[in-house]
Amino acid sequence: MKRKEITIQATGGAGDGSLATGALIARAFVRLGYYILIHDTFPAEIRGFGKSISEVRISTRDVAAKSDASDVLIGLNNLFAIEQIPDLSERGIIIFDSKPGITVKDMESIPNHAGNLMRCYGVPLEYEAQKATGKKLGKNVVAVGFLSKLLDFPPAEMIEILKELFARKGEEVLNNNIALFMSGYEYEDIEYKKIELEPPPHAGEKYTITSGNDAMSTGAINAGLAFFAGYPITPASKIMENLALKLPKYGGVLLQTEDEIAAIGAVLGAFYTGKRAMTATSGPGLSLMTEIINLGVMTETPMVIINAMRGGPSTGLPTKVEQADLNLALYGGHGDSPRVVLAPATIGECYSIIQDALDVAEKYQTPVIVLSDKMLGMSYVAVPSDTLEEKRASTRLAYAGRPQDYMRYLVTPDGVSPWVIPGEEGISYTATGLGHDEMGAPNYDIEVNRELAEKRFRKFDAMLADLPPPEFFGDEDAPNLLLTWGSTFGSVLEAVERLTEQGYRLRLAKVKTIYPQHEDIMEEALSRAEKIIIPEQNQFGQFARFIKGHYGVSAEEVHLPSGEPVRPGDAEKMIKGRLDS
Amino acid sequence: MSRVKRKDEILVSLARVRKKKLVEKHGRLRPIFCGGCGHFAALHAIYHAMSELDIKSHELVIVSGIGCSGRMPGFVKCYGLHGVHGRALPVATGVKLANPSLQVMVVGGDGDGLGIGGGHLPHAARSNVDMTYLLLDNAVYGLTKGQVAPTTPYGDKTSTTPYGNPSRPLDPVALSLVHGATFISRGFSGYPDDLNDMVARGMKHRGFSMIHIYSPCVTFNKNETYERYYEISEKLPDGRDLTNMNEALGFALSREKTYLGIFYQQEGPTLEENMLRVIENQGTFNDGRITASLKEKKVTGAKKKAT
Repeated sequence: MKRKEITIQATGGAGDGSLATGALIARAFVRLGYYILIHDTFPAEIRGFGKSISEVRISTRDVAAKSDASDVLIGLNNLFAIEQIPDLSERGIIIFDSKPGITVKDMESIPNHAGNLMRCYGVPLEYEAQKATGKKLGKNVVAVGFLSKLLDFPPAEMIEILKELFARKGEEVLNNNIALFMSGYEYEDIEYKKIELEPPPHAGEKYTITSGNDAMSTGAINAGLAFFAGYPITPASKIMENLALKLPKYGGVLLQTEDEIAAIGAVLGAFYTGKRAMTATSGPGLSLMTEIINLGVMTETPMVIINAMRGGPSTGLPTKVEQADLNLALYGGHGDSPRVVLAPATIGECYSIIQDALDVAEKYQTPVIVLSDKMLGMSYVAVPSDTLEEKRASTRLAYAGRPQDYMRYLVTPDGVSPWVIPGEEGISYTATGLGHDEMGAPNYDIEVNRELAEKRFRKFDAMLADLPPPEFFGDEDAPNLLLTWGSTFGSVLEAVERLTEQGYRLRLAKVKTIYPQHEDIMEEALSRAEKIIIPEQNQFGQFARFIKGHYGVSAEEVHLPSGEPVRPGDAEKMIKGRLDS
Repeated sequence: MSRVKRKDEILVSLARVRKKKLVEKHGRLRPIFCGGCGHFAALHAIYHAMSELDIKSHELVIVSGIGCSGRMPGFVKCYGLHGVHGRALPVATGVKLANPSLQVMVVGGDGDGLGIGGGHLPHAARSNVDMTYLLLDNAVYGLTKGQVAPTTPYGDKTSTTPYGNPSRPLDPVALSLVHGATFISRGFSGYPDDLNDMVARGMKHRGFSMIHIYSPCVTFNKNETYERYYEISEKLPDGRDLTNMNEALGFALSREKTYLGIFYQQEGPTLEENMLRVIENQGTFNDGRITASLKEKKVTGAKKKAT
């Protein structure tokens, strides 16, 4: 029977090339026209202990989550591969380095650890690599060669990919890689059984591999980003690295500052001066930025902050996944300091949501926090190449009246004041974090400040028209409503599909705009549900508590496992538990 | 000199800063400073420089932190950003990089710039952002009513050091010198004419200009007064080579006297010029020495109008 999808995992120690193996396999299948999702797991340290794992899910349909188990395990280091065997499906396949001439101890022998129904293909990866190029390096490409034979992958296609990757590194490197690949592809000394996949869903169409971090960088540039300031932090750094290369080509400036406080300060200064500006950080960095985010609220200066969430409080788990910065994003600030909080749920959405963020920040003159995470930021999927090409224009409300009448904080029905930027002739004003009147002059009168505070909140009603509403999936009249946000959406959606097949009646809402809320739509959906279930990847039930408090409804919290991206099976099990209770 | 004569001298000096025309032209809100506050002289030096260099109100952005000095942008007819404590330098860097044709000034106190915001001074200096930094030093936390500051002399009694300041003071001039600021000077509100001249020169300078100003707090600092600054200060000798870093450091670190005047001045590529250079070279990698080619080709947009 042909498979609808297959998951391949490459595991090895530092320097074995596990992540490169995953990337190479994914590239090959995207070229053929399949959907993919790559998720890499790696230690937070550069070298030393720990294993690197690259997991590639290849599917005939668009997927936004890891699969429950791997079907093929490529072991580039036998001990690490043995640790990964529990991740493998019952009838999984293991490709490992058989090391001819070396006797392997029982405890290090892969076949001794494999399950009864698993198949183990011992290929002398390092030996073949040395035979092909004279060097021990490159056993991962040999493994890809052998895998291609198992999967019936056309070698000509792979040679094209190797050319794309290595041509600029010189002929010798390219030829070596081709030789490595072919030695694996032509390895004949073992018996094997081919794996058959259903035909690709979009053969011949042009698809690009992108991560959430890549999509956000491209999206921001296409939305007219002119200034980026940041401080390196996993898993957000790649955004700054991407922009450092690209932004100057579009006339923009990138500044790596001395700390996160300086980064958000520079973003505030640049947006105050009229340039679309943003920063990207992760939990600890967002903590440091909160004071100046508040200044943005009070001075009504736009700013965009991408927060790629990681695990744990404090330094926590820098390379792990969690959805636990929602409280900080929503409430991290003194006084009443409303700000927009958005969360993309898939890697593809990262592109458009950063554009919405920049538009809304500028139009409504407010800070916007975009909550991404390590799963979205650092995993890869295939998206149609032409989806990444949209340009956006300035949304600033300009001033057209007489210069002497200008008031920076004019109280208007929708709360948005005309905005003049420094350098415009005939006008000047002071933006201040102090309580101020419509002119911007410091003012501690309670009535004046109440009026200005109301104005700042009023903007949030007006901007809903420009923010993505919740999307619904499943049975519209179902008694059970699930709410999700962020990267757990992919797994929860698959869980909902499976549970629906089992006869449960479920409706799923994907909430991208967390604050302000599309209250009409949400209230209608919530009022129709008999049971509300909110699964998310944190221990506090941060989103669930927000929804419960905001709408005064009761809802069941489901705390999905933290650290690694949620597998659909785990989500299914935990949601089912709530449905049956 | 007798104490009486000193007081006369102060009154004469302060009277000189009340130039009504300048206030009418460049002033906005009425200053909130106490009568006799050193900040008045700094404020008038800004008015004076705007007038002298013909800077229009829409061409100048003043960024400030918190404290008495932080209120300065509100008193000047220009674009202003009164922000949070200690972060004016990075905010101003963002302003300058977003629009290099603006004149950017930062005004802050000793606590703002050397205490909470102390981490930003080295970086603004080393990257040589083209802006003027007025550090108004009264050696005390004035707006919070008299606590010890990073520049309070050793042993001084304040409300939080009732038994004497146990730490030694920071010296912003020496700090700026070693961090690579390209214009470094020290003024005193008691010599307003010199201060006017100094601020104008600082604003004319292309690069990071650090102007340290002794600005006595007449309400909360009974130790560091006008009288004391008259006594301990001395003007730097005339005709010095302003590019001599070692000599400048010698004057800055001198224990006998506190020197007033311009310590150091050297032209060099600024951050925004380097950034514009990167934009001009987009698509091609320069060899990392972005500044070398600057000498051959002038970068537009970062030039000062007055030379």
